[in-house]
Amino acid sequence: MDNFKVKLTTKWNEFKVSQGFKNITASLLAILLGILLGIIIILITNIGNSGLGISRLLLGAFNNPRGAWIGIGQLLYRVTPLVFTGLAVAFAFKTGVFNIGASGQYTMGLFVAAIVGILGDNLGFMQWPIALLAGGLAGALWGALSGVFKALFNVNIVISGIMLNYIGMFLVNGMLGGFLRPYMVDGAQNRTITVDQAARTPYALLDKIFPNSGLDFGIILAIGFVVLIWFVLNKTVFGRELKSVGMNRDAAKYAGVNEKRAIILSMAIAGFLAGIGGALFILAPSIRNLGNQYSLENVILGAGFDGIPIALLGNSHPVGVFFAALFVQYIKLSGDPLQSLGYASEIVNLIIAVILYFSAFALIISQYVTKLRKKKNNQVNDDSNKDNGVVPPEKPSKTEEVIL
Amino acid sequence: MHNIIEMRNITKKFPGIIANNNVTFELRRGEIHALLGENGAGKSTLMSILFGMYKADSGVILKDGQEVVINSPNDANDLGIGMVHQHFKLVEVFSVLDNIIMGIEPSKGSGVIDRKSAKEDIIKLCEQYELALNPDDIIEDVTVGAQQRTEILKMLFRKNDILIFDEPTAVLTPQEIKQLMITMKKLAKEGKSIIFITHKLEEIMTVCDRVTVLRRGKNMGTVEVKDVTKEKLSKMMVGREVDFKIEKNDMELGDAVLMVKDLVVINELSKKHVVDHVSFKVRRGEIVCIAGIDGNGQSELGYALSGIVKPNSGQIYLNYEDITNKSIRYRNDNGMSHIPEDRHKYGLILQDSLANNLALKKYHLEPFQRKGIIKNEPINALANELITHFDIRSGQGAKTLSGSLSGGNQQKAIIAREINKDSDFLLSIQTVRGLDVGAVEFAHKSIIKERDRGKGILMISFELDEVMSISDRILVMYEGKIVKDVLAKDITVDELGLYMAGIKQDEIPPLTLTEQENEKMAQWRGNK
Repeated sequence: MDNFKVKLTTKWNEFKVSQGFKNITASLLAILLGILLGIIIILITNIGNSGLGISRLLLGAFNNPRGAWIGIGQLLYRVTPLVFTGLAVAFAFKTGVFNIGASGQYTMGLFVAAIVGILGDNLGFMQWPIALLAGGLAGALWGALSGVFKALFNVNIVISGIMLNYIGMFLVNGMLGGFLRPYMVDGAQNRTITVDQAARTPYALLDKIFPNSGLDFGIILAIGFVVLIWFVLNKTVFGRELKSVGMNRDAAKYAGVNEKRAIILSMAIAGFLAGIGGALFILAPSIRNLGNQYSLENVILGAGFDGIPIALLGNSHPVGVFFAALFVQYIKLSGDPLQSLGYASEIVNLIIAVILYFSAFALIISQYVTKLRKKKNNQVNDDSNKDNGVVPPEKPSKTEEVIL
Repeated sequence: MHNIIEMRNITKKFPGIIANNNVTFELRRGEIHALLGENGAGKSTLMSILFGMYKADSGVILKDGQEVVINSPNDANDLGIGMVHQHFKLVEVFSVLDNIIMGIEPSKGSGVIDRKSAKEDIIKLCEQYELALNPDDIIEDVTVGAQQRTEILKMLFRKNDILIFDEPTAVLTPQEIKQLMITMKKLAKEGKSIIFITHKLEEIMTVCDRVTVLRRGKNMGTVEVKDVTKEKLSKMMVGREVDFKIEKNDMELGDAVLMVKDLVVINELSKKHVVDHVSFKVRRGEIVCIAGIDGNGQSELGYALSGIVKPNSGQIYLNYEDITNKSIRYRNDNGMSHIPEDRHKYGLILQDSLANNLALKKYHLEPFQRKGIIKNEPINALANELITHFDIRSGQGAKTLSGSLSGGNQQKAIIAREINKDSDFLLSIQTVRGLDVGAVEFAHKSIIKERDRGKGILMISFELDEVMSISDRILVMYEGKIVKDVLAKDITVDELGLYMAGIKQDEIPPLTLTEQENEKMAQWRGNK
């Protein structure tokens, strides 16, 4: 027993000085500052109701009028697509690529999954897995496009990503508004009809644990992918190659990694993840098995963009991404309850924006500190004490060098 | 004789190490005083304290017998202390004149820079100290030597009389080094006092009056140069005897492990032939060294051989197999090792651990992976073995981030990795950059051992000492062409310098292949 205690303390002490601990504290600090700003805005806009407002802001998922348990179920249900888009951004980040195109990939995944889900009537019980996979592949294709443009024509991935977001959205809306309209769109609401019963992801007993929350198999898949992505990045040769491209593209190339292939594959996998996210959204049975719909508005879906602060907040670590997504969705659930008090629900977006800023600041600050340390070391030049290997190791920057 | 600077009992500690331990250093007026020591001996720390970049934990600095406090380089400047840094601090797009007057621009009170009087002053200084320099030239257009003279003039223009030179010869050609030595002597004669930081014992012997040797932060003594020998100095510095003469047996030359035929690399921007129809062979059992001044196409040749850049035309054969269009990994896995020129850009992933870096070219092979899953035990075992054998000093062993190693140890890690690959052909560029005498000796011995095991070695070096001491055969590269192909024992340093500067050029005959070689190449083609 004592032995175990000692082990635990040493582990904890090791963790306390590790980079991971610093990243977590930095993320928590960003969250704290974001919430603080939210509270200030609540105080400024209407001080009279502020007590209730602040408590609703902090209660997040627990605001659910039908009870906290349903609130938790709702949180897990809604977080599923965000986990995937967060992973999509984080995975690309690890290869040094900024995947701002996750929204386009998400939309394509959603769209193709909807086609299979609505029109694939004779697929039987295989309809939902096929729809899901088709959605993932559509996202992969969309992501790979950016990668191919980068590898072959050196097109900036951020720019091609943004363009593909628009292209994806208008392509989908154009097709749904055009030749697919008779088959897939509910004209009165200007939304897609819900997918077939067989195309909906199963509840997998989760409706027994979290009744009336809509929670389905998707969340299990999300957790599975968190583990899988962690495994790929940390345990496989393939992941090592992608990461070395992210850390030092030139050295990776020198060591024999085909860095163009790595970028294309990384973007394809990122796109696959975002695509699965979109597919899971549209295939989800939702509360009381009513199904989800896609609205034909000319707006790029936010779920993809949400992946960016989630990946940043989670420090691009798959497990970090999962918890970051949980937090973002938690705070998002405060939006409606706040609005009912007369506060703008956009406060929630503001908080997320502030968190994004501070996450980025943490990155800049840590880079600045590293630089400062480097500068000091340069001053002592090769004569520095480093030769004896006793100087504390230089901390890596929070994320890796980004390929644009 | 009068001491212009005295640093008394200087101690400077960094976390876990004493960089300067009770060091006393005296500089006399009008002398050239060498500061000698291994990497990490504390030379630069001591000079950084004198130049105001660090504050000593204890100890005092006296100038002309008066105690002074130096808190910043500006303070140092006010006391007449100037420094030529190893990496020049010049604005590339400014003229020589503008660089010299930067920060102390003379004006006639109206705020308008008075370039005319400044120019006159500078020309006067150039004449006085016999420095060849045109004040109107733009820095990026002039040679490294001229840039260095600009740095020297910067100090003279500020009327500094204590001049610190931090490894000034590392970047110069032999001819430029000679010129610098003359300038330094001239400066000393005119009453300037010079501190000369260097690794190179030869230079100390030719130009310095006294030398202070530091080892592990301690002053090992200050001696008159005329009373010591190179051997004695190196023993003081390293603490043991160092072999300067590299022992090499004559080797029976084997098959050509590398053949380069009519290789051309064209720079995409300038459309210049940076590698211009280069042909040569490297055979088993020989060390071929490509000598030349930096920027004559050696780097590009290295990139083409290693596969980082695709050549525009020509062929590269590794063990008679045409690898011109093969991937980098194919080359790595089929008998090519490569110690790259830029260890930070290409050699290492600085954010990754030492163990992963030592396995950087192997982790995709068994037993370091099985079925695509990385196996950490063999990687760590390999790392520990290399760390011990190559004496790579790090804070936390195999899991140390390679970015936190000193430059010398980073280089050792790369050398260890590449030699451990046991390749038939080793391409090594600027092998010993940043290594101290002891480490250089070790690196060179390791490479010679590889040669003796029948490997073919191609080195690219900008350091003449290295070229002369280690190579069996020397190729001189000038403006992308090979202009000399000669056995090392058949050429002198001075003659080599003439080829490096392009003053002399030989016609190099085209690559000739023996019957056997043609057969072997045909075999490879047949296999495909």
